[in-house]
Amino acid sequence: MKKVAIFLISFAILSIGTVALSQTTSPRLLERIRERATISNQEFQQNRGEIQRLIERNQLEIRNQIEQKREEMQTKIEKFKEQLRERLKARINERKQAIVEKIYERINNLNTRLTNHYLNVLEQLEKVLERIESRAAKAKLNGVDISKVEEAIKKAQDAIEKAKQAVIDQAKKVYAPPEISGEDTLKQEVGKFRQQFHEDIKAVEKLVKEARDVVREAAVTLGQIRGVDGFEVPSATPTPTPAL
Amino acid sequence: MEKEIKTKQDESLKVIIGLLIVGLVLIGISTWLGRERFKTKVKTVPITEIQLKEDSTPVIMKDIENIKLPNLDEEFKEIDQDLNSL
Repeated sequence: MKKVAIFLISFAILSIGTVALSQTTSPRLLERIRERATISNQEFQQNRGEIQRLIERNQLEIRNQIEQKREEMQTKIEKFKEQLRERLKARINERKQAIVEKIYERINNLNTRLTNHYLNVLEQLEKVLERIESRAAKAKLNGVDISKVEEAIKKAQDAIEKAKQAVIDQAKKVYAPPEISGEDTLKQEVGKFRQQFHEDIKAVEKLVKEARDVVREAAVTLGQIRGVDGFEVPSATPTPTPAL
Repeated sequence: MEKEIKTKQDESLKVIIGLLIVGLVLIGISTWLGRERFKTKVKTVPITEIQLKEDSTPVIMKDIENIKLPNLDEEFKEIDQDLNSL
């Protein structure tokens, strides 16, 4: 009985997790079309509109989540700044003390600015990918084989999700101030702190760049379909059934 | 009698010439007005461009190319300047 209860609880937790995950990832137009027997232009546009709204809603949720976290982070950063000030007082002169404090502040501000920018880039890429999918779906409804594009779209979606997670994690990061032992090692210690942040942000940038590249690849693959821009939703066409 | 006929002929000639001048002036004015109207029409008629759809590949490609990432070296410049002044 106990085992059954544990199994049921675990199953429920997993199900909730799956539902939550599916809500944060962008919904797909091609999947919706695949489920339908026929589709009219109006229905196609309605589906697109709904997906676009869901994408925007997810993006807004992530933004709000980060904003809330940032409020908490700001209090933490202020505490860290005070600690740093106290620690520096006894070890280095006032001029250098002010510079170290400035560097600490600049790094936290830069983290906010860059993660906001990366998030913005990923949001744009998501919207572009939705348009790629729309064009690919129109081609599919006209009987064109779009398997390569579908593959590229999936790859792009995964890359965007991976990059997005990395940006969220980076945005929520609070950097503890550098450990300062004294004037002699000051530059080296602050440099190490700067380097750590640089490496972290560089890793995030790499993922964002990769996401942009794979979205471009998807667009290029789509463009290789002959006359792809001329396709429209055919009137009340039965959607192609997936190959078994 | 002959003089009278000549005077009448002169008068009708003057009237014909007058009418011709008036006619020419009217034709001139109407041509000019027509041209002006044509010019206005040309100005007001919008230039019809081929509107590319937002999900067409040229528009998509253009939008991807416009997605820019910040230059990290530039972003770290101020921090590095501060660091060098330590």
